[in-house]
Amino acid sequence: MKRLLVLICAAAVLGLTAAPVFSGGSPESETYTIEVTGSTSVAPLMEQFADAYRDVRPEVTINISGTGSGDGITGANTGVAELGMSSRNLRSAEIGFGLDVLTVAVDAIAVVVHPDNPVSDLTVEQVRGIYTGEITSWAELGGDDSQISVVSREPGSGTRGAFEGAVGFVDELLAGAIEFDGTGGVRAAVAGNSQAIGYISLGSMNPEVKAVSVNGVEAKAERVVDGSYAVARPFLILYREAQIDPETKTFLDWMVSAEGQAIVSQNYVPVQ
Amino acid sequence: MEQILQMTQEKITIRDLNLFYGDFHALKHINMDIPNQEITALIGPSGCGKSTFIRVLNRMNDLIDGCSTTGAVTLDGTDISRIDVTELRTRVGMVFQNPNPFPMSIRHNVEYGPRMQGIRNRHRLSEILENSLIKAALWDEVKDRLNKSALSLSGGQQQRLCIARAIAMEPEVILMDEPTSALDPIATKKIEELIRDLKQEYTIVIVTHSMSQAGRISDRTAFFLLGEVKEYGRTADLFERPEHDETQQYIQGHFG
Amino acid sequence: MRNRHRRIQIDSAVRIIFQAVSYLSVIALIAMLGFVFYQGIRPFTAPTADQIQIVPEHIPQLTVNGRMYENRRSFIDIPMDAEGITIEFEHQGEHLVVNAGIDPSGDTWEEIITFPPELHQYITSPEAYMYTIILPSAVAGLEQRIHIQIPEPRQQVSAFLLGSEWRPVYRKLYGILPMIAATLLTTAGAVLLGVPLALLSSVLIAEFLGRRSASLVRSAVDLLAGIPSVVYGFFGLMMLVPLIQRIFGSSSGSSLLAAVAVLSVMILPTVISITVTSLKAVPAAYREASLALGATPLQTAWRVVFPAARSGITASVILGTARAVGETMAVMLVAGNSPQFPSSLTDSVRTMTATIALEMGYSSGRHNELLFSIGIILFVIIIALNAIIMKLKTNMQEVS
Ligand SMILES: Nc1ncnc2c1ncn2[C@@H]1O[C@H](COP(=O)(O)OP(=O)(O)OP(=O)(O)O)[C@@H](O)[C@H]1O
Ligand SMILES: [Mg+2]
Repeated sequence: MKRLLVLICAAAVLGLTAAPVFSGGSPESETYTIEVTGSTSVAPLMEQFADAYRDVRPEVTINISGTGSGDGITGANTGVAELGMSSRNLRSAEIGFGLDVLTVAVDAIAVVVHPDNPVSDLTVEQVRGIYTGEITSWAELGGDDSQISVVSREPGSGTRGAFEGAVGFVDELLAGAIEFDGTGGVRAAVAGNSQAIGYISLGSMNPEVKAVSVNGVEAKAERVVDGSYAVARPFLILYREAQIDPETKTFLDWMVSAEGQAIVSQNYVPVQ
Repeated sequence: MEQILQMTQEKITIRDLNLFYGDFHALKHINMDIPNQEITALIGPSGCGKSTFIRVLNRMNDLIDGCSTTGAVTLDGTDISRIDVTELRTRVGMVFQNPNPFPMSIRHNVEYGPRMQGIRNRHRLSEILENSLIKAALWDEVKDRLNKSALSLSGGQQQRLCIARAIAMEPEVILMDEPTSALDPIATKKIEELIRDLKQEYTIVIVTHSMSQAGRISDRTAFFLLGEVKEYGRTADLFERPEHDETQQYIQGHFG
Repeated sequence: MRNRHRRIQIDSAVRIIFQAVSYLSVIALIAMLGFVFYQGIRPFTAPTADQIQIVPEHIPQLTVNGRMYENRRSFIDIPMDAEGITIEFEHQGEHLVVNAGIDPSGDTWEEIITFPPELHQYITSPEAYMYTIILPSAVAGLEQRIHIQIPEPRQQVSAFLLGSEWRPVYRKLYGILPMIAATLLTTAGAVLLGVPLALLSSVLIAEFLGRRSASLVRSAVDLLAGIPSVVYGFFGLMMLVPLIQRIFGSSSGSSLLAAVAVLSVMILPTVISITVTSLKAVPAAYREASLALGATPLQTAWRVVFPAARSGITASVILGTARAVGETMAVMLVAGNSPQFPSSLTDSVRTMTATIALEMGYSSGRHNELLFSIGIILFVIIIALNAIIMKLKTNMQEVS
């Protein structure tokens, strides 16, 4: 057993030392890896960026880890990652980190219910009432006579911060609300429960859940652009201008270029 | 020999008993009558089937995979295979080679059997406890520490406790498989005395490797050899005038 | 002779490698614990900062207490014992002076800084311990802002352990009692439900089943142990949660009950495998003695074998308990994760482990440190459980 362990360690050490030797095989094309970490909501967009950027500059690799907005901001602040992703505006305490901020997209947050739910329009006040526990039955909203299962993201989530801010009930969430980490968790919970209501990034919508309109406005990118759909938040990239590689700077410029924003407009709202 | 057997009342009769461990023929065509309220000693070289035989009498071999028997064994005239096995074992108690008290208090060890038979009355249980320990000649030594762990007793005391535990069931027969082989001479002597006393009430079958022990305590002796009963008779006769050479040689310590 | 020399050399080389590896693992463990403890104890020993911190937005030049800063983007520190805060800057061509008083002895954070009444309409408090002065601008998004952050004081241990509100982001309330309760409840439930089941199956496997079926059941149990916990969680989420919702007619099936059910299955393999091993270790002589006294096999198993294996069984139950306390993923998927005291079995709960896993990636500052503090508490619970096992082991050695 112990011998096996030693062997594994030895193999690992060998692998680590050998890796750069092999990857540095072609010296004429300098490769560069950009480390990106942070928000799980921004990560899908970043994946799309990375895919497209492979054609633009094949020698650049983009490593994405979706951990959370807080992690993205801390990562950019401490230099663990070159770029941090956040799906919420910086909080006051984070502004003092002195990070540079680039907004690459705006994302609407769709309020979603089960496809079988007859309710398809809610006011902001109703959404707030549901999430603070004042409204507990779908009957009060013109639906079936069943209890509402309130699904939220976890504290600190960018989506949650933006949603609570836009709906106006910061940190007053009903104590019995179910909390999931990640957009996928919330979507699955709503898709599997006809009494549930949740909120997810518009870019992550799929037919398993139904988006309701808020104040009569559909959750659509165009409605965000014209300002009528209020539940939206920016997707931010955080970095330190003085410390990033020119290669990374090129990538940042590309994301807000026409080419990059064309990718954004597939699922999100472009920034220009 | 015929004459002698007719004079006493038989407690257990064994007719053409064969026992197989899988393919291995461990006991061969055994015929024996074990008389009431006597001590029957089983002797013979190691591996000849003494333990196997004694375990037939309370059907402990039932637990062994692949063990099968033919022939008949009766207790008071009833075939033991017709008697419910738990009832049989309350009537035929057993004491093992190594003292094996349960890891519980002395009291609980003795009361274990009766409790399992559903006796709950505290008064009755205390009575059984005291009687059994007195009969097993252990009462005076343990009466002040009945609630102490049985494992704190010496080996000899533990073996007497196991005898008390068997007695508590008020059995008719007590089987003992080399009950003194793990004990020193003084403890052995005590137990031998005890066994002689118990003869007044119980039929005792005892396996022993000690010729002198067999000679000292038993009324009858059976000599086992390679799964057969070579010779069976009054202990005095068997020791003084063995019919077979093998018996003679074994008794004199030439083999085994 | 030479060969022997070689062998000795190889022998000592291997020994050195082994030693190095073992020391490395010890060092890794100490480093990890050190980090967790360092992070987790800090909230209870020091305030978040010693100074009030100020940071401007969209103000190219400002003067704070007489010092001028240009394009300042990081915090400007103001000692707690300063007379007050005077901030001067240009706003839409006007020279503005903001004066605020500091009272470090204030009981609540709202009492520490006092602003002049004419400023009140510009001041917001987006979260506790934080003021933002927002001055209007013609262009949306370019409002001049000044953020003022007051240090959070030392966290009280009692407020942490006994507080019942977990609002870590904006209101900065860090009470974890609901999570402690949830961990205790889910664990107790899993033990109450799972352990009897596990003990019954262990007795069955060790005492009653034939060799073939016993090994079949045992390998099935071992297989259960090998299933990743997320699979249990996923199964629970897909099957159990909707079932509970349907049966109880609650708004959601994600509940204490679902967590208990999943956990009680998850602790089965731990409890069964150790219990079976210790039942098998009971000397056959005890069984024989009991059977020879006319006890039935069931009585023998229950009255003799089981008590004789007591310390091993207790150890298995404790290990199962530890497993239930530490389980994260499966519970997170089915428990619903509401930081509340449950009033019924169908209420959603959040365990301590789930809190760490849910929020670690999203937290910052004190919130983040306190997640490590929760880790310390879990660590203490596990150490205590292990200590009990150690004690049992020594007891067992004394007996045998
Ligand atoms: N469970 C078993 N399965 C198969 N064979 C067995 C089993 N138990 C005993 N035997 C065999 O049966 C024969 C008789 O064994 P037994 O234990 O009865 O001998 P014994 O006369 O009591 O010997 P000892 O004086 O050494 O105790 C031996 O050959 C032994 O190997
Ligand atoms: Mg024997």
